[in-house]
Amino acid sequence: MTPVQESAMTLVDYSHQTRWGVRGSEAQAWLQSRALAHSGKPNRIEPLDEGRWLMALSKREFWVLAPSQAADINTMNAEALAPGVWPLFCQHSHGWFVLQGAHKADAMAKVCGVNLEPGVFAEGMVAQTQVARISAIVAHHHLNAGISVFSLFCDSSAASYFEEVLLDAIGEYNNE
Amino acid sequence: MKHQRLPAPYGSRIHRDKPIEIQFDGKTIKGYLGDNVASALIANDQWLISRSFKYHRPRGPLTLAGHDANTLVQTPEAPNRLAEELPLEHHPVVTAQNVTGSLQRDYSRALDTLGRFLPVGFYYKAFYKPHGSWALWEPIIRQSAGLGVANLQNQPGYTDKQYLFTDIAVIGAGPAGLQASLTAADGGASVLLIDENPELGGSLNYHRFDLTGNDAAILRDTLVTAVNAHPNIRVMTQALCNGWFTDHFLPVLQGSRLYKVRASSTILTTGSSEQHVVFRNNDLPGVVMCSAFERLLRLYGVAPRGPLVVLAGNDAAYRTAIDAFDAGMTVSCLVDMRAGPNDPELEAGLTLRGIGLETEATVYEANADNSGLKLGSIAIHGLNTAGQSHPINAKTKPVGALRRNLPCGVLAMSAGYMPAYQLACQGGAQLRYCEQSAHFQLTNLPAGMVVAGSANSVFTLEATSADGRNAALAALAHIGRTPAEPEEPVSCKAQVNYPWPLFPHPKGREFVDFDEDLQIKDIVNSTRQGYRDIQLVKRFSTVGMGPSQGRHSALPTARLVAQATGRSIDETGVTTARPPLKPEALGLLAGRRFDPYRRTPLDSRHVELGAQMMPAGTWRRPAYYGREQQRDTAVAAEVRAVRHGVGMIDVSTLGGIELRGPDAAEFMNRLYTFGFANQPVGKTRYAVMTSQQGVIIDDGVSARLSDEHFYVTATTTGVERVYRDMLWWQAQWRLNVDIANVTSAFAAINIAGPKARKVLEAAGCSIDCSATAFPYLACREAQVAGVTARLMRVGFVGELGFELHVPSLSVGALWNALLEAGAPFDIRPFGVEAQRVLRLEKGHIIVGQDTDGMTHPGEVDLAWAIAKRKPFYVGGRSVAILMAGKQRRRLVGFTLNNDAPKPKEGHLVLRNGDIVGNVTSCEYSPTLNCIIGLAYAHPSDATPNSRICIRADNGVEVLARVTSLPFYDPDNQRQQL
Repeated sequence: MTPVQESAMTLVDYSHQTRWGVRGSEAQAWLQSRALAHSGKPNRIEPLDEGRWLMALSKREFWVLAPSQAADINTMNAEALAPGVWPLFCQHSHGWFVLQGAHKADAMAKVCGVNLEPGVFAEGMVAQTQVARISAIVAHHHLNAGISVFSLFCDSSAASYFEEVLLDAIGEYNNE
Repeated sequence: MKHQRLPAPYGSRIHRDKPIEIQFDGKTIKGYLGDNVASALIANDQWLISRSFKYHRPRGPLTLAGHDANTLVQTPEAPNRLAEELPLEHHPVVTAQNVTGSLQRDYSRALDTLGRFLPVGFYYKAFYKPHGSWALWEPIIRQSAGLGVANLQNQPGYTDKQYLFTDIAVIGAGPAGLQASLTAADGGASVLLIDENPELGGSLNYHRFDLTGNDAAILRDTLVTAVNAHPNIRVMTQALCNGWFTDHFLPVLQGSRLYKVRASSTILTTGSSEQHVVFRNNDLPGVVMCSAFERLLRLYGVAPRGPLVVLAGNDAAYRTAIDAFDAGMTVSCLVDMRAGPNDPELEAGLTLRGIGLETEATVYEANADNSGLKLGSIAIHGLNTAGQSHPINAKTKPVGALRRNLPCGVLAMSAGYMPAYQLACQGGAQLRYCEQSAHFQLTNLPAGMVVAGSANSVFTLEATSADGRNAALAALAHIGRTPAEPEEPVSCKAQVNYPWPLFPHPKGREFVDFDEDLQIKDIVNSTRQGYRDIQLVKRFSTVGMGPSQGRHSALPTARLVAQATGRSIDETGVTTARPPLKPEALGLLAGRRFDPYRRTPLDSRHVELGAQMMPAGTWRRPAYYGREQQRDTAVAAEVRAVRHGVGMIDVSTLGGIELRGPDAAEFMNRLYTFGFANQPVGKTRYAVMTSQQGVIIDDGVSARLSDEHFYVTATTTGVERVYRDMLWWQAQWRLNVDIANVTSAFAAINIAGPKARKVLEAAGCSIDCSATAFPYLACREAQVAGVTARLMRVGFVGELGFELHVPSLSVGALWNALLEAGAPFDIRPFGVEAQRVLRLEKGHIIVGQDTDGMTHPGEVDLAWAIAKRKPFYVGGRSVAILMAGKQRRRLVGFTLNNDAPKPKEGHLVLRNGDIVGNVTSCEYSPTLNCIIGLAYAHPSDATPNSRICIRADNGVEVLARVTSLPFYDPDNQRQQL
């Protein structure tokens, strides 16, 4: 899909959308067996069917993101899914925000030291970094309409703070 | 306005259709949009702008580029602002600073006549004798120190920071910078072009490079058009690169933002600083650099009241005189320190215009007009040995007889140029002095840094452009882009520096450093007092320490020190350049404040219930529920509710770590002091962690949920360290265990009190919660009010208690269900304050509050929490050694009657006058109706009923009675109900 750039900057809270993860030495194979394929390259986000995305944070940690699917918050399995495959609790542990707009890399440059400009941080890339002094994950992908976005994940307890600083960062671009 | 502005193209910055008025020191000053305060003042024939730092001498603009301290003024917002950097439209009110009386009549001017009593180093040698006299002098000196006045009521504006990334950063948008940017961008690199001026072009905007005066404008228009159109070039104007840091990290100030530029290569086209001639009264308002005069004409359209005299050490000054004449000014004379110009056409140009020429001569002295505040005339003397070095104390004076006195309104001078070397030298470059050209040149540049243009001692237009091109090709090669064309040698033989523009006068006042009021004798006397190294001269005399940062004083100081110490100028060198290049506002360094905070999922519920919130590390937690004025009552009520009924507290901030895998038990056993290898499934254990030095660093509860699954809690503020240590040890041990920090994935509620079980049952718990089925220290997984939960029987507050850990998104529903189910039992939420009282009554320590960086388990009675038979745990060897050694302190419980002064945490424990410990916790206990606390005391005072002496507020010493712990329910019956 050809990415589409939009000029207006928006930050949308996707925390209530589905994400789940697995970790362990057999995690990738386990996902593969469920038709959830990934190249296995760390810090890459790759498309699945139905608008879902599979994000690799290391060779043994993967998150499934379903931006269009509301989350089921009451299920949380902690036991091994298979030998060497452990579930992660990213639905509960991390807030999820989606940032879009032509100046999203500029806005992020006000809170993050990683170069997120499109020529360097292309679609499909993931950065595990610090944003406004807290740990965060930045994933560059697109949504269904082909709109290029950053998915931003932070500790769920710091989500209010995170949203606050990001809204502040994008403000100047919407006031232009 | 007293002077009409020159017509276009003069005044390229001003908008003549937009007049502006401001108040300067109570006077109305008229100018235009585009003016700065200094240019508008000169247009109004007001040259006097400030008073000098030490002698309060009248001062006016010197560079008109913000490169000197002669125009420091006060605005309502801030002191010490340079008038030439203040846009007129933004500063309706500006006042003078550092004056006693008024700018015109500054009574501190008397210091100028007392100058002979204030020699260099005066402040180092005075005021400290006789002993104690400093106390007398200090307030007087403090009163007179400083320049402007900080407005403490000023509300700082919004400032922030932003990263910028580029392949090549080009600093300076003069001809070399523009050409370098174009060549680099054509080579495929992303280019960031940074310039402190509002427009591109640098000297092309004001300097006449050829006799006709056409070349600069043509080149500027060509280059600027190309730069603005190039997609690979980003331009930042009015942006100051204020330092160079390792790996081309560049702080760039623009407006209210500090940009943190990450470049792969830096091209310095920063230009050069024009140098002044050192003669008597060279600081009078009206004495300016040639470039400043050119800026006045070309940028602001101001032709100041003359007549103009030009003092030249190079050919460029001739073009200044010609430019002034062509603009309609009266140019009475050009005084050339040399035998004449290198380019004979320049002399012809003067003759054509009727401008007089004095060669092998100098201005030896400038004199003020009748006001005493501005240049009025000059004395021109011949030079005996022009162009050669002149020993300061030589019997034959270099300055010859008076040729003539001339009335003079403005004196424009140019002794040469000094590379704008500061950024390069911050990166480790060196300055080498070339005796032949009398010029410092930059060498030994760090990798990836290239210098071009006049900063690289290349001055002619043609050579400058070629040098910029070469710099870009070198930068492209550095970043791995193969240049499409080779570098071509650049040659510039322009002799721009006069070798010795220093003319000492018997009456002094020949200023080397305007910022610090330093004259020739001050520099020379520094060396005579033993400060022979240039760095020591700087520290003793303060030369170069002012806002100019040596732009104009470095070169004459190097010459004077070299001569005084019998070394070459190259051996003498200049002082170390350090960032920042120019003064910068602290607000820009601070930027936008990032103060992360964390909220539990129940935060809004606490607020709705009237909680007073308090910080706990980065978390926000309820301190107590109720009005602030009724804090003690509220806390006591919450304590009573737990002791006699039931209470519930949000403990979501507790750290939570999942350990899963076949080696989970082995990992736990190695990491914590207790035995965990045989911890039964369904049971919890107290878990103490020690450092490799045997110091307690955290504690928590380990719940074994299955053979290969432990869920461990950690303290609120300690969990990050615990998790980090776990990962570190796992990297060594490589056990088959998965470690996950789930602090935010799980939220937790502790429901405590004799009626806790009833509430839990009423809320709908899927398991048998009876004491036999679910005893103290057991853990279970169950459904509570439809929410999947991990339940632990805990006793932190000393009552029957259940800690419910649930997925964080579900905890809101659980909280509501428990409140509803607990209503018939008068359940009451309690906060951190009550929890602290409750746990203290129970004698439970808080790691970090009741322990410090030295506490080992034996000091806090935790020897029972160590499995002595297991072969290893982290810190085990150290703990054994510490506990086997002589004990120096012990944590004890103490009590005091209610009417005793209540000690505070940190108050000292004394024994025979010596400090033996401190209070770690102290509260009023509503349950026991007395003051209780924990304190480190001498081991021999640790037995119950001993007395310890605590020094409380105001030095009051109170005797507290040592009490066995716990204070409350010593048989532990209540928590095991």
